[in-house]
Amino acid sequence: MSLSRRDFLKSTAAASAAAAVGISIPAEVQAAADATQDKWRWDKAACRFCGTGCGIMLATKGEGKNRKIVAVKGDPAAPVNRGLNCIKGYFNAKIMYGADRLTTPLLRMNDKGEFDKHGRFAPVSWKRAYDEMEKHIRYALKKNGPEAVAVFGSGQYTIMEGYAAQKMMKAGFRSNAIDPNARHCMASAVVGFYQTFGIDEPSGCYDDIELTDTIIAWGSNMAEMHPILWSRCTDRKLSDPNRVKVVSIQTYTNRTCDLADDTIIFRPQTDMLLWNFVAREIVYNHPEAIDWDFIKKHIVFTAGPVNIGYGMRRAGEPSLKAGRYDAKEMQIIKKEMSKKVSSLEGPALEPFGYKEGDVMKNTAGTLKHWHISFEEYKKSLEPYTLDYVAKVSKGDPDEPMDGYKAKLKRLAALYVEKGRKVVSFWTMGMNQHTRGSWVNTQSYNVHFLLNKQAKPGNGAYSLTGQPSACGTAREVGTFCHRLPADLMVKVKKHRVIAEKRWHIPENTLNPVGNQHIIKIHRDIEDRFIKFAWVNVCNAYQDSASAKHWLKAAREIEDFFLVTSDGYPGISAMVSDLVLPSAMIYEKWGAYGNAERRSQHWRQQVLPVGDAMSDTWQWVELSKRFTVDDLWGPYTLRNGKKLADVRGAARAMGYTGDTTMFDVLFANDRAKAFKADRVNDPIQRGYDDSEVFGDERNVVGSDGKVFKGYGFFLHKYLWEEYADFGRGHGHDLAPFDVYQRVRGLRWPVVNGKETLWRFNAEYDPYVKHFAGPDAEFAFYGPIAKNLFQGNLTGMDKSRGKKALKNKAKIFARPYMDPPEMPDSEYDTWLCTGRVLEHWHSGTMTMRVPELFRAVPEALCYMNPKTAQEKGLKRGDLAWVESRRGKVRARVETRGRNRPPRGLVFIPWFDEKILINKVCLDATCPMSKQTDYKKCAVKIYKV
Amino acid sequence: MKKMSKIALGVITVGVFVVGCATTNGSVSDASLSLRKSNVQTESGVKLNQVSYTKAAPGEAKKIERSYDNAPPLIPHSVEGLVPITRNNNSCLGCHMPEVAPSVHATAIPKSHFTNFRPTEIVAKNGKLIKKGKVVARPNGGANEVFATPTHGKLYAGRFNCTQCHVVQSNAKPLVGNTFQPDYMNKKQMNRSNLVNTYDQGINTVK
Repeated sequence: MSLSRRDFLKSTAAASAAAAVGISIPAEVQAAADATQDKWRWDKAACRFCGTGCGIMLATKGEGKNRKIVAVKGDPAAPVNRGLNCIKGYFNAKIMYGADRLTTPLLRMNDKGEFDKHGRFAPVSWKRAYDEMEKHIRYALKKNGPEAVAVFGSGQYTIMEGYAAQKMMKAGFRSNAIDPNARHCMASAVVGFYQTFGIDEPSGCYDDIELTDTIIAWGSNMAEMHPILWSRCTDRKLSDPNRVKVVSIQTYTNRTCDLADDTIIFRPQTDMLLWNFVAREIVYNHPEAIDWDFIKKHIVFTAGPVNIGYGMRRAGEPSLKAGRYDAKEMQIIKKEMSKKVSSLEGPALEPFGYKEGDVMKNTAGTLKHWHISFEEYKKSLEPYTLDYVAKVSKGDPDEPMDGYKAKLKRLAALYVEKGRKVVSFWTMGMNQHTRGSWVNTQSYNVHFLLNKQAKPGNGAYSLTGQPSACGTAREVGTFCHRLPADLMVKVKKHRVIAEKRWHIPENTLNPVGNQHIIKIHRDIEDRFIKFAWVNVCNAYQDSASAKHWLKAAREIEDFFLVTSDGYPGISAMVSDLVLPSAMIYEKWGAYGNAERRSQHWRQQVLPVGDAMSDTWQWVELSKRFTVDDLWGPYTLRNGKKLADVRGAARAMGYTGDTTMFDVLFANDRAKAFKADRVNDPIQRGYDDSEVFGDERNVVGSDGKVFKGYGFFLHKYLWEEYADFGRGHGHDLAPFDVYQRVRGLRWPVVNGKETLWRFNAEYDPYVKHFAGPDAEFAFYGPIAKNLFQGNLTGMDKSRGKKALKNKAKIFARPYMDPPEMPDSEYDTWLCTGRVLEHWHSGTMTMRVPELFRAVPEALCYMNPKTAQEKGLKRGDLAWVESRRGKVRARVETRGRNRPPRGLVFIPWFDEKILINKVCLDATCPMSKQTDYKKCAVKIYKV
Repeated sequence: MKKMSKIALGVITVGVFVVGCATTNGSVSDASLSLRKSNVQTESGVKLNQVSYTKAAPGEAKKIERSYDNAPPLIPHSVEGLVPITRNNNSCLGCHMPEVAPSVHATAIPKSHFTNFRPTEIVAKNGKLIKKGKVVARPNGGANEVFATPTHGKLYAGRFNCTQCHVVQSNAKPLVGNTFQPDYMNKKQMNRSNLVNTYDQGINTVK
């Protein structure tokens, strides 16, 4: 058979078009098309980057270790993105091919080949790397117990990686000091979900975009951060431009504003005022808009303490006593203990018993809350008049007040309008916030009052930042306080469930889980944590007050830091040992996105050099520790005892020498998942370096060629994890199902995904929990029995009241952030991302097209601010806070257009470590850092 | 011996990416790792480069080869004054709509952009979610549908934000190389798109 090139091209197109309409085509033409495509193998995967969770198709070509990715396209079958990607999504093709991939472990050594904290990095074998890790973990355990062994985890772990890491940490090492970078990204949203619904994750789904009339972006630059969701919003807006309204509520004008009917520029932190203004408009001026029938059946009103601090270091902590924070830093840190109520927040705090000028004594953040009456809630809203709110919240000094007020009124009117569907989206603006948990709950307040929540096209919707912040960090529970499927380490009943599922003795699990990610940094600086491991994140570039952590990593002689990564980034630079990790499509995996959609992929290519997956790295580490090594008695820092469970382990059939590998990973349950590349259509034709080893013949952690575990590890990890949630409202489908579909939104009940939770029309759990007549049930089990009180406190004498199946509306006042511009540090600094780069830039800065598009982090500035400071576009300026300074180039005509008095600098650039400037204040409830506001001064270099 | 050679190989690999920084025993300094290339504890050694973007006006710039088969084309010309793209003003469309593009030597927006791959959704009275559109495939036995509805010459509005996929390029020199090798179906694909004919290739992923 011969076909000219022209014929051949035509045939490819014809075959494709023919298949599309289901007609048959001549066999000869079909064969020619297949011959070309045969060189490529297409398979589905999830995008590596943001929380949107787009489906991509990857084409690979070649054999064995020469098989490489050659092309990427949007998956036309993926409901999230329907064949479209953003620029980062398309360049998934190149992210694994940076020329400086880590290919071998690197250890700091002296000339004699010994580990040396002050040595230079030199290549070592996996065995040597594991010998060092084992030695330093044993030292840490001996010195300060399980709390001294820590992991910086990730919302970019695959679900299986996160599950393996948390199992070894919590069940093996009995340490809860594992916390993901998702703490920096989603924790406030999670507290919002727990407090409001009693269960994590959004009620709605992305179909809300196609079904709504109103899209309101609250401090979220969706156009750059969730481009494909914004493409869906754009399609919705432009398809019905008169009906569909878009409002962009931001601290600076950005691309999201370019589509909007209204842009509201607010002063950082005052989104809280705007939410309460909308709520006040409803309650005071449009009470007819309140759906009382819904409220009475499904909602209670609640309040909590307001003097909860800002999640900074508290007086008496070792590093404060040791003088590691200078006088300038202490100006802000001292507010953690007490502060003076300002004129801005005074009116808002009056219903809560404080007025301007009062000294507020702060206690450490608490999740405590109690019932109040609707009248008390109404009282809390009284101060939020248009005059007060507009005066404090107007963020652009050059905008006329009247026009600003008119926008606020239009905003409220859109929410209130009967029959108008509204979706409120947010991400980091509301989450990275010293009152992030509060402002999250405020969003649900407004939607609940109007009965515009958990319905198609209606709802307050928390978007997630990372590809598996939901799937891995939250659902798997790789946080210090969590276990899988919303179980909590502090709840005995929950620990017992996990201990049973993991076949470990009762009382193995540690009940104290307070080492969140910033606490891990602080515990290192306090000389308490002695071993830490960075997994799938860049903890030394991404954490605020970075100077402290960078210094601690290098100057504490008996602290050992390990970083696993695909590329050498900032965390690797300050580590003692660097391990080469397999990257995203070099391993099997699964991610969970922001609409509860779990998506799986298969290993497409072999890893480079001696790189191995993070799952493998955890499983290998488990071989180094036995029952007797880890399960003896410990006394924790707070005096609590961890029981000696070695005897109980023996009673279960383990011996003192049984390794954690045998207990946690290579047990009988695991081995039942067969490795079979002949008969299993899922495994057939695909590599699985953990299960079979591969032709690279990597010499493993025992000094022998790694030949694979011999059972289907990923499937075992998935199924064991999924069992935690099945039957409890977190139902996941079987592993094999996900290989055939483009993701499913949990709970997956009887093979069907759930689109709108808590709504009986769509969520089978509503009837299960609340009976056949229920329309809604907010059935989350957390904090469903509360004391009663008023805005100033609770009155235990009135006893507790249960609120089964109900959600909560919270009275939350506006409060200032701990640091605001003053005469010396006169400018707000806001940080974040840009479209072209992902997080710390470790991957995207190595893709030439993305690098050349945005080669450096710019300081986006209003031209008038530049003029005031004697700067012009392109100048280098110092951006300096009380904590540190960086140089950055001034941009006055860029995509981000700040008002006077605010600058925006993204954090992807290793040369502009903006987190040296940022403050590690957090929401004291969620412990999530506020990267969106601190005070800086700016001057010419 | 085998282990030794593996380590030696590692030395070579490390050595390659830190040319000039490696010592005889193959060790490397902190600063030579990473893209920062200077001490992380201080800002004094950081070198920031001045970069610039092309000044070439639309129509006067040389097209940039596709990064791989059907990769979105990069913008070769200056976009000064052409962005931002707003609800009421998309300057890109002025030259790149297919009916105009040939006359101004612009790359025409391809047919894939005149196809709506997303169904229209409505919620029926009984609460059921209904998807409308032309179903062209049901990969892997029907679990998902592929929709492809022609838009009859109107740009699919989900593709209105051109700069979400198409970006300009500065003259910045990449800090490290990238070993990705594209594989074009044929030479023409280095400068054009045929995605509308190939989007459904390979969507049946489980045989």
